[in-house]
Amino acid sequence: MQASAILNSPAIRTPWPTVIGATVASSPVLCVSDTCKRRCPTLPACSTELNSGEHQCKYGVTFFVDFLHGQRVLVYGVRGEGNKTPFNRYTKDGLKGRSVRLEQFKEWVSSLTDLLSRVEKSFSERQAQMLDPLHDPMRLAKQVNTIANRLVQLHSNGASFEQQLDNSPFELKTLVKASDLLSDSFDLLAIYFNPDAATFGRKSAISAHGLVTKLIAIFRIDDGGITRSSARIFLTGTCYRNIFAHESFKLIPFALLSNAVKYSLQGNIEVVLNDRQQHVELSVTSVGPPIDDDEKVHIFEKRGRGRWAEKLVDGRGVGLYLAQLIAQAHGAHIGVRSNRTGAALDGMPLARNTFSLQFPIA
Amino acid sequence: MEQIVQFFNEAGWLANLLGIGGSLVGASWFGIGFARPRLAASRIDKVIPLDFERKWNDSSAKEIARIAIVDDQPADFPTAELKSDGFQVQTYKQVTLSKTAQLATYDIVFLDMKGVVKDDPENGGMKLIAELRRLNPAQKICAVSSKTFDINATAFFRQADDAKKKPLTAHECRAVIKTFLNEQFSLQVLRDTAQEATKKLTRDRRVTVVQNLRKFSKGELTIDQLREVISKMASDANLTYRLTNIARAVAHAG
Repeated sequence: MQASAILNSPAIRTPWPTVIGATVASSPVLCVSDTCKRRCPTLPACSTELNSGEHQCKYGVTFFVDFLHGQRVLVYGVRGEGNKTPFNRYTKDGLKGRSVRLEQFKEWVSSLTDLLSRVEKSFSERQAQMLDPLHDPMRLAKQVNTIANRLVQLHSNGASFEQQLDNSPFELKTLVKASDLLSDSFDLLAIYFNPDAATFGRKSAISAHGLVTKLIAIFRIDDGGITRSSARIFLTGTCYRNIFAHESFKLIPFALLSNAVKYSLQGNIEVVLNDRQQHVELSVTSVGPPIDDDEKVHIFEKRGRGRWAEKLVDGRGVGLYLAQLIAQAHGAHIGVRSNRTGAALDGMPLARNTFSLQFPIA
Repeated sequence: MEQIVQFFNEAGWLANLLGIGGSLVGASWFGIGFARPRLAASRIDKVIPLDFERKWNDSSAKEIARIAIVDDQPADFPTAELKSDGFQVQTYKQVTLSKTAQLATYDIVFLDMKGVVKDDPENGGMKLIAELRRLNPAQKICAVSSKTFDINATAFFRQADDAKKKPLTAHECRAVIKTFLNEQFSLQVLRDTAQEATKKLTRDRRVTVVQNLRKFSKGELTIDQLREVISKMASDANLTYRLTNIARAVAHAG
């Protein structure tokens, strides 16, 4: 929870004039000094100070700075112990009756830190209680997925899992796809609620090519329209190296492919996987709604969606956010390029969008 | 002194060579013969016999390793398959915190977070993992829980050596166990442990450790007695368990 959210509540009055982050707290117990009102009518000039402790502004007034859960807390327009500004007819109104010691300020910040910690603890406990019913469905999803994969291996012929899947009956293919999507979606959900889950367990060697090939085989399955599918996904490139990653890594290509299948409007989805000198590079290219330059950061933020994408299909703005979060947890980064093709579909301009991941080889 | 010089001057060069050289060789031979058993008595790596490498392999580790599954839903583990593979597996649906010391003697523990501790079903798993870590840092723990979404469970997963989602397949279990056993019982790990102990312990303590490791190999001590002695000598729970592993491996390789 942001400190400003609590301190801007009318239920809480700050003891002194205060700025939290960039917001001035309303109605402090000690009103804003005349000097501050006169010299800094909109925002105190001292609100740019980043060093913690007691300071004095050029108008002879003391201000204190500290940090509360990463947000800067500024108490201004007071007279600290180190303030030697003499009283005169100009400074009297701005300094009289406004003595605050650094210790008092620190005690106040400490009590706020404690309050925020309690609120956050209570929130996380409540969240854990609310999510508790997910425990069994997650177990069952994995169980169904395991059994579905085992059935493919037992009852279908083929040299690889992809071939076996290809030779499986429609119902079994559908079961594999649905259970795989369900299981991976639950994994994404777990990381959404607890980002630390991206790095649970130890890293192990994963065949990037094997993983992407299997995912493509699953996304290609046509389950009769129950989920979106695309038989137009093609994999090219050469990658023989294993990557060393947490289990969550598989969710990155899952999220990128899922995104491409969802927003692809024309042509094929091209997946390119290549060994590079220091990394493995995965790129997913499709033609869909354009991503403007000012959206290229936003679409990777929590619940962030592109303007054109929002008009096209319903979405939560979660997949790319989680893919980036998992990539960052592995010291990698996902970049995006979007070049307009010049064509349009139902009034929507089309662009060739490429999401690329460069995964470092340890 | 002059008499000695005169004696050597009067003798021929060959006589001098044989006399002085022979004396030096004899003294060295006697010195080495005297020092070798004293050195060997304090060298922990000497407990590992020369032919150990030939006798020790992955399946040997499998035969001595003890595995505990602590989960209120034991059906989530392929226990029968693991047993038929030859692993020594013990399943606990619930434990009490007072039994933690017993659980700490296992080499590998698959541990669930919730509902496994009778005294505290809600947070017992968290307490249990911290206590197991304290009692036996050499133990390998695989956290098995579907509560990855719970931010309050992060500390539980972070303390484990690995984390897996339930239900576990036999393939997943075998892979986890194989990695853990390699980290506990590979020849290199056993040798590194012996070297580390040689550096850390004083000579007197090393001698006691070596004597007791040998006694265990001959069946003159139980594993608990051995652990107790080494614990006093090493004053380090991690090193204690790892040194005990050397004795178990050597005894098994026979």
